[in-house]
Amino acid sequence: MLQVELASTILSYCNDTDLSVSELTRKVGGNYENTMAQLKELKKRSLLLSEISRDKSVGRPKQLLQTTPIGKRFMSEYKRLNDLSLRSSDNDIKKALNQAELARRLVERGISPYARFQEINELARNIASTAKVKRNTR
Amino acid sequence: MLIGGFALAAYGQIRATQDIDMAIAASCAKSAELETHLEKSGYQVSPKPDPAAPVFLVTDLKLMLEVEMWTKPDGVVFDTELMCRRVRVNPYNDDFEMFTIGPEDFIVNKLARRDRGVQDELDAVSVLELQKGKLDYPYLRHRAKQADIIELLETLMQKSGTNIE
Repeated sequence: MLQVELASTILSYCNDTDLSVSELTRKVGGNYENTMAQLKELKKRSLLLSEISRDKSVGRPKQLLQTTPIGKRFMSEYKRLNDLSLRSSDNDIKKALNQAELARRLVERGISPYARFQEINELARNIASTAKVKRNTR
Repeated sequence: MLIGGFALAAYGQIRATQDIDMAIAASCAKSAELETHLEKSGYQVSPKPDPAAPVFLVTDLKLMLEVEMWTKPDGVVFDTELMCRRVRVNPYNDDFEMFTIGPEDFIVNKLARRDRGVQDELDAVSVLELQKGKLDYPYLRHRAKQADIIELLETLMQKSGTNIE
């Protein structure tokens, strides 16, 4: 299964520069088996590509990991959604729903929510101005 | 006395609010008396005053205006100190007067609310800012400790630059 946060980290490392598997696991840290399982998953989904490096003439050829264009898209979408996280608490949402319900009931009774807002605003202004006088004389 | 959004107007800023929050220092028997009186006058009382519940709702069905009647407002202790700190206001700019909760108790009530949201914290900060230097800070901290919200208050004061010893 894809672990989106870890997947995004891996893709981001392999997007900056081509890395060998051992270089990547060192950078990511954490559980080695878990990282390897994610690598396999990312390759299966074509988000990551591995190429054999032919640079060295001696020794075992190196396997280099590269983020694919779909992988890049995954990264940018993940970042966009991560930045979009909700800041309102359940209480804020509940309050907004209550207020909307009240406005709906006002309209049903033929009362304009705007007229109500003006009435309430006037009361609040009166409270503000009279409280100021009292505070100064307290 | 007024609490909530309308009380905010007395100390902070005027912001849109659709319901009226009132705190009443009434025993269970007195609340039941009030309920009967309100219903006779044509108001809907629902849910009914309940000794276990902190609030009951009164609706003016003609005007579709809701008043939340708090018998146990969060963080508020009905004692002499609190009563002395109430402020008189004239909502209709005429002879009709009523009380508004004091600014320090307003802040504590807002922050102690069980259903506290972003708006409640903003309201508290607005009073801290507009009443900066005029508040009774030892009293505010004492009430915040009582309501177990002292860390929240200190953090908000620090973040908003309204931290006065």
